[in-house]
Amino acid sequence: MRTRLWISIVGSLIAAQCFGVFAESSAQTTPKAMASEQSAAAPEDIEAQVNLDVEVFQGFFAKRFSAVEFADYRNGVYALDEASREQWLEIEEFPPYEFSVDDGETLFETPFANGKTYADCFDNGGINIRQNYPFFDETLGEVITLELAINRCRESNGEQPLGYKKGAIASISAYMASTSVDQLMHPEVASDAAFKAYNEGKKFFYSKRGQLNFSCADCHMRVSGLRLRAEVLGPALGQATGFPVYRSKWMELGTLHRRYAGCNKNVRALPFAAQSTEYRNLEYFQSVMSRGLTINGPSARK
Amino acid sequence: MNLKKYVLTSLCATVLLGVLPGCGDSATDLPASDTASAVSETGIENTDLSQDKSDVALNATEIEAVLADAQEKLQIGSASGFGWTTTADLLAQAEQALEEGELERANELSVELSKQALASTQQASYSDAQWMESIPR
Repeated sequence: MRTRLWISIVGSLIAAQCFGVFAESSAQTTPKAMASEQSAAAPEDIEAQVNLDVEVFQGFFAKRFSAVEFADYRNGVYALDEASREQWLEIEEFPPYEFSVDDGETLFETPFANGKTYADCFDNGGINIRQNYPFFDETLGEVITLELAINRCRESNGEQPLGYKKGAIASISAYMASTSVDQLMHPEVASDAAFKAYNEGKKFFYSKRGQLNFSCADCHMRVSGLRLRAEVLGPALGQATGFPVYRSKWMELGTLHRRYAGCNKNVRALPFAAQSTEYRNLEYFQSVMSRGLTINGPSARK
Repeated sequence: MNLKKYVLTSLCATVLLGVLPGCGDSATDLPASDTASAVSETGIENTDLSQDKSDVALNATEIEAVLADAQEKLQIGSASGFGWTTTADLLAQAEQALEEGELERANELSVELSKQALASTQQASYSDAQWMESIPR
């Protein structure tokens, strides 16, 4: 009798396993547990959790596109689609953003009314520093992106801030990025406050939005490499390294936050303002996920 | 006879475990998330706002009340960062139709607006609680 009872229990457990009853209790729940641990933690714990996030994130793409070399993810969709890559390489022979970079250099070097320049606001005179952005400013308690730093530099020198999506700010950002090509991106998450901002960005990335009910992850992880109409969806890994970009659709340079707003509108979600806390935290999260890749902005995209 | 009894017991236990809340999710790289499934996840399809227009009295005051309720929901959705781009036009069209006395059209638009407003608030709640489900495993 007891034997039969055990047979019954074991049979149930095996069948239940087939239904996925224990999926939630497997080791795969680590990212969830990690995401929920947003309370105060030791810096080494935070770093360990962020490293695990990076491992899971990058591991997803390594498994999905096993033939793609890690370093190539900085080239966005052109790392995945050979036909698009060929066209892109041809475009890059005469980069459409070249004049904008020149304009950016001129703007960067033009003194403000008080005689100072952008170089006075940044480490190393603003040269070869793009890889240090975004970062979490512990004093201000917020994520600082390069474009935000450019405008704060202007404001601290008595100048009006620039629009955040295109135009002069994109040109200045492009010039600064061009001086940082091939520098390693490795943003840190070193405090509770930074971890909170990072987790807010992470939550944004994985949250479904808009009437189409898509998250960033839905398009740029789950269906990355597949086509939406004529376009191949690029991988989320490496998206932050190449901005600002010259998009053929825009016919001009634009910033990452301009692209974020465009993505949100594509899924019929109301976009946030460029350089809003939400988008800055998202950029921070995406940049952390792209650790180990190198800067290659500005670049050209469809 | 006994064997049949034990097989039945096993099947019953299996079904019970599978039906228990949260027990039936199977792990995949990323959970399915097409619009249809998402609509089902958020329970939008279960709302009673899809009622036939003939069930709704074409009364300007009632339509105004529906619009006011929808606007309240829209504010909740927007405040939580989950506003939709589709609602502003709907609201403007509904208000215009109401102003021009096209009650049937105003009613259709206000009902659609209510559905979308409710869906955006449900999406906000759903995302707040379930966003981690999208993390690859």
